Amino acid sequence: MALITTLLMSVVLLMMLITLVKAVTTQDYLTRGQHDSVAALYVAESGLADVMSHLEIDGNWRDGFNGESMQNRPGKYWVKFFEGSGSVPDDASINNISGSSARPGPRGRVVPRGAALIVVTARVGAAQRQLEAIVNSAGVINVEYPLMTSGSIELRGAVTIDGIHSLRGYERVAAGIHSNARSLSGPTIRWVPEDSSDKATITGKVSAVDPRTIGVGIDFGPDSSRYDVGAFERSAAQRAFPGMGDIERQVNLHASAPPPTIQPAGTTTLPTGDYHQSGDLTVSGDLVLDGGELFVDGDLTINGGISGQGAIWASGKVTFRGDSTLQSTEKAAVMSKKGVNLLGFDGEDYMENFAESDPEVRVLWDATKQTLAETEELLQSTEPASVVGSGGPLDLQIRKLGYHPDNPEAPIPVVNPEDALVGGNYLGKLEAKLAAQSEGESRDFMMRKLAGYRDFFSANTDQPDETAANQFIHRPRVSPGAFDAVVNAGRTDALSKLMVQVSNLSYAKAGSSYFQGIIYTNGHFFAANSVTTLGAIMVDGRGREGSEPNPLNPAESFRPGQLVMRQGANMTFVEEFFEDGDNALRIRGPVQVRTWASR
Amino acid sequence: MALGIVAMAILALVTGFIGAIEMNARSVETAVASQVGRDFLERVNEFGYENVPEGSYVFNGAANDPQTAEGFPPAPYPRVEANGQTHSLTVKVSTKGATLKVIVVEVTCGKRGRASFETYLYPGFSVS
Repeated sequence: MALITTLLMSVVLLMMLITLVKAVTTQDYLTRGQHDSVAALYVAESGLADVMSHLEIDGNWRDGFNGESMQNRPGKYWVKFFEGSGSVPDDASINNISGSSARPGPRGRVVPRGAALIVVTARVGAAQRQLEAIVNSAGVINVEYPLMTSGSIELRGAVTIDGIHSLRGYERVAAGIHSNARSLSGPTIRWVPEDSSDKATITGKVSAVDPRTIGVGIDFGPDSSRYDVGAFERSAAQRAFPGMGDIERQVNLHASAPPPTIQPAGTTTLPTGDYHQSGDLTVSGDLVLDGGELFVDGDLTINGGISGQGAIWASGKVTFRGDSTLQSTEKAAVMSKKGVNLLGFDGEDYMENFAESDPEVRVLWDATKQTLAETEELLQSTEPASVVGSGGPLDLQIRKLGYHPDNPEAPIPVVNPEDALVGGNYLGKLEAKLAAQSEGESRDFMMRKLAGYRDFFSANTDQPDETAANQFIHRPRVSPGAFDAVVNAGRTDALSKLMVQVSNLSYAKAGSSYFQGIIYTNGHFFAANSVTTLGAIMVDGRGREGSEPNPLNPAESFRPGQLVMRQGANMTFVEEFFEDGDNALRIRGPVQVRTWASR
Repeated sequence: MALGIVAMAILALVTGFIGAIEMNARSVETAVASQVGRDFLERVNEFGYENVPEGSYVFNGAANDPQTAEGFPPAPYPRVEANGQTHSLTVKVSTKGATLKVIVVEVTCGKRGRASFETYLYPGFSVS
């Protein structure tokens, strides 16, 4: 009996033990499964991050992943892009980033233009997770003000800031300026009229985080009749800058792109594609962005005009010298880590760079400068009568610079670069050298300048020397044959006037900037010429220290976030550029998740 | 004989019971460790891509390896009390390609509890 009881009890205990072990192993299994399920979600997110990193570099990337292993832990992910037509499989991804219209996606989803729907399947052990996300490669920039800074704003001259909803209509929208700066020694936002006719018209708010009273923090001067502003607001809330990503990182990401082919003078055109330049880049001549994106790991200087559609990314400063015209149906973006300068065109710099590419130009250009210097010395001679007259020292000098049919020294075929000097007419020869370059505004401007000076130093052939000399004395200017006429007529009384003209020879022009799109910098913004902008200028210097010198006046420096416009501003905020739609301004940047869901 | 059978049964019962308890404890510790690991990765997402160091690093919470100047790894690194146990975190950072930062977190608790997760970070991307 005892044995039977013992056996029965043992059986009961054994059953309880088996039940306990089973319950515990089931719980352990579920715990493991839960762990793997969580791990699989992170693997799926990793797969999505990996897709985004590929799309950032190539918006048309469609290779996908087929069981891509994680780097350190167990787990794999799959991403399959669907290219065909017809019904889209449930686990398929659709890349519609460069598409022109919406496309159908899996499970009846619609993939908007400019976006990609990514489905990532991830497995860890027995656990499988799937997530889908819609991502943008080229983001619409969310801009609230056409002009916004993290530092001070200084505007001089006539200022007009207004806004329209669309370039195709007349619907007006208010447009203002804003500064996030506070606690500056001077005004946070200052407008200074340069002459009696200058006015400031700003249809929106002029707002600053600065709590100081209007007139101190925001200073538009004592005469309120000079400005028409929507409203002034002090102690305003901090405004968020658009998320443009890290400019330096974008430049580094495109380090494998080919370098741009830069023309030594004339026009450089960058067709659609990415271009990367290691180190500083100087473009002498005009730059046309024909859909190209230029990434510069250093400073970019364009001594000439810029036009077209595309984007410029520079880890250093961007300096435009001359006319900047980025416009038409095109919209461009200039992104600079250290600052943007809009300056006048520097013809001497242009010619120096041109001379670097052509030994003949080098010889002619150096000889031109030397001849001009020697001419200036002769014009200051203490014995003026000794330098004038046909065949005299001044006459010999100007034979070098201009065209003189009576010059006994005839040009010879150029074998060595120095041969180009024979026969004089250096300016005419430089002009011919430029004419052989590709067309462009800067080249044409330089040719006009050289032609004007060449004519000034060339032989007077139109009228008697005495008549032409008298005309020059009456109205001193760089006119054809004037120098020759004065010298041949022996008019020593006009040498000082010639001196003024020669010493003021300049190959520069003030330039103007017309920009359609967005300029964004983490440094400063400085415009020495007049600026017309359809779009926005964002100067976001947060977190950056140091300063950059004013390229025109090294005694002055600009801090990150500071905006200075010295010749007025004419800005029109185009609302539709910054709203999702067909006319939105989209720039490359970090790919962003618009929506996501775990399946 | 009955005594022998009872003794054997009790022995088997005790052995099985101890094993079950240990397995249960491990299961609970793994579950808690998983939660700690998950919490940590959520904090990393909030912490931001920019503040995660670039390159290869190991931060051993058990050895009290210091955080970076930016404060990475964020709490609950180096260790946290959860469910009456101390959980130590080991965080490994590396890179994948030009952009992605790879984070591996291993959470250990007692002798048996262990959870490990790996994720890739992309700038501005946080879906969690």
